[in-house]
Amino acid sequence: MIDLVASSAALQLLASSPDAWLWVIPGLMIGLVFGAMPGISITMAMAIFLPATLYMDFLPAIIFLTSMYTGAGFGGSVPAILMNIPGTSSAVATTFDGYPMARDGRHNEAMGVALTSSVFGMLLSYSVLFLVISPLADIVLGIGPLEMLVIALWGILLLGSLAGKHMTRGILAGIFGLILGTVGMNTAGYMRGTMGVPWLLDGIPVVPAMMGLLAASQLFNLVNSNFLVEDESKRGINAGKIFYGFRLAFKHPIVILRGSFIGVFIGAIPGVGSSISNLLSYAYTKRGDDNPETFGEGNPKGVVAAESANSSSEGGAMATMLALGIPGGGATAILLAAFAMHNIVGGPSFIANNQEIVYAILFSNFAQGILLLGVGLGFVFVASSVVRVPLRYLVPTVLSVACFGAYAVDGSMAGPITLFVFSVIGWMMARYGYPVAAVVVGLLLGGLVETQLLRSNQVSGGDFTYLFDRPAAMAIIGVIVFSMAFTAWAKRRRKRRELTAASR
Amino acid sequence: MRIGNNRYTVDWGHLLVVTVIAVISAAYLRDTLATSTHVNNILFVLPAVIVALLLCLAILPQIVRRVDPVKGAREKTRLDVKPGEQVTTQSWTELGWIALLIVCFGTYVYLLDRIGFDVASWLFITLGLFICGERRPLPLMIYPPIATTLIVVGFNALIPYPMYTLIF
Repeated sequence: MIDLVASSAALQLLASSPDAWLWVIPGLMIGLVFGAMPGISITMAMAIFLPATLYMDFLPAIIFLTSMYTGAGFGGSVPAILMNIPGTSSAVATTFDGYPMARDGRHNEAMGVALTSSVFGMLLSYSVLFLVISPLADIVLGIGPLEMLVIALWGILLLGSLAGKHMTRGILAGIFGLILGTVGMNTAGYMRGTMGVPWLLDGIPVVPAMMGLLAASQLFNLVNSNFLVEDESKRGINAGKIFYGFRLAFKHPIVILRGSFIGVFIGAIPGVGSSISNLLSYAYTKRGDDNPETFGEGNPKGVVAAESANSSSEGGAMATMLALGIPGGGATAILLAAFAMHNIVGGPSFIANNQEIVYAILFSNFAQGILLLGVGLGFVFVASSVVRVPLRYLVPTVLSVACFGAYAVDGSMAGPITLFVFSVIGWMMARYGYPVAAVVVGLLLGGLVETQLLRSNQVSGGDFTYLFDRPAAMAIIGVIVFSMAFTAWAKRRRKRRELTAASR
Repeated sequence: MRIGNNRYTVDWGHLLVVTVIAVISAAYLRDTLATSTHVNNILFVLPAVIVALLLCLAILPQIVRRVDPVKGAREKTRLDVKPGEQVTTQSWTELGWIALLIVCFGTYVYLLDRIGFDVASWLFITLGLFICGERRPLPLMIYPPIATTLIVVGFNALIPYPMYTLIF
């Protein structure tokens, strides 16, 4: 599976291009800053810096861009933990336990846990890819519309289970999100729910809606608080506690491993990728845990699960991009554009003819992961000071920044208007225990679910038995049924244990 | 509301949320059906809306709660509330400040491209500071223009789109 000749050629290539390494640290820092700013997506940052890479050689250009991509992978989790604002859609699950940890004064530990899980998830994903990049490409090619549909529905069903006490509210939130995600023109050309608003033809803008649902709605509730961390003694920034967070992450190696594998394989699926992988990893960690009720209240395992999965998704997306020439998202599309700018065509022929370059990219990503540990630590130190800022300054300023970020998505008022509308919806839903994250993921996947359902219907000619011809889809459905049954069994086992403990 | 020996309360706010979800979903289905009843148009929307409406019905019993005469309603303090958890115990004064901030935020969004991103942001941050508890005149005068300048100049440098501003 490993081409040793190509590997040594890749190492030689990297050693003979010292200038390529000069771009790693600036790339990581740009990625961290842009990833941490809600609304300013990494895609936008990479697009801004793409023209600059035209004057570089191919390898330094790709290393610079992938460094930004790597930095943003962790950058998105910084506001997710400190302010409940996921910088990227892949950091949604990080907010579930990261933010409660921060509000409990454990922001240092949470950041340490997130950084370590992120880095190790990424390192593991690139190690796995080094071994399986070619077979993985074959698997991805075998994924059809039905499999994509089933995976997306898997994510929504899992969100129902994340809702905690009331599963009905969780599933309603997810389905409501899916319905809203189909507003606009569908694949078949039908326009629905636009209310005559031209910009709704493209659907509800997801990034501003996400910021409104998850961030602004939370900020409204902070109006009457003084600080993110109420206890003054816990407000400090402490390197010791960040390092303790490092160790804390390693106390859960199974969670990191599981998150990384989920991230690599789900991340490799174009369009679904990291938005789902972090939720899947979180849900399975919560389900398999002896104390699932502690999740959502600041359990570090939740942060480990989410961060290891979303960082390793980056590796999966890179694999699809390198092996098939299919970009899984905006950032990998920019990377493909950079390939094209250097007269290199991505896809199966690229991986076959330029294996040493593929390995060089994988090796450099590995090195970026290690360097992220140091650069990210410095970034965490600066970013954590936000807990010392009084909320009366933070709330209006962050709302204003969110508004600018929403405008920055496409330079129209559609962003700020969506932000406002969804902040009110999010605040009301959160007030009555509806998981707004489910609405977010529903919104993200609504269009995809409908498109894949239409395609499956067309491919099968409306015949439901088509499902039996798709073993992968059957296997995923089997996993869903098994996981639901396992949850029910685990809940019963827990109840029985509690009853036994109470009777003693 | 009293039924037999038990007293029940209706959570009107929750009822409003469920009604809003149901009405939006039903209106969307109506618009979809009005567009076309072709299978390619309704294949996903029709079953999804039906499931959503059924779930709304299933949630209705959760909105009516029996009042326990012995225990009474256990009130949580604001700081007990965790993200995603049901928050229904804020006092009317606290809710009033939240409502005021929401109204200000809506007005801010409305004014952005009318009076300029810079002036609107300056006004919103000043009012936001006041609503969130800042009463000292000096910070109210100094902080908003500094924050606005940093945000406007920063975003102007970062984003490739023109932004309507009055001063910058």
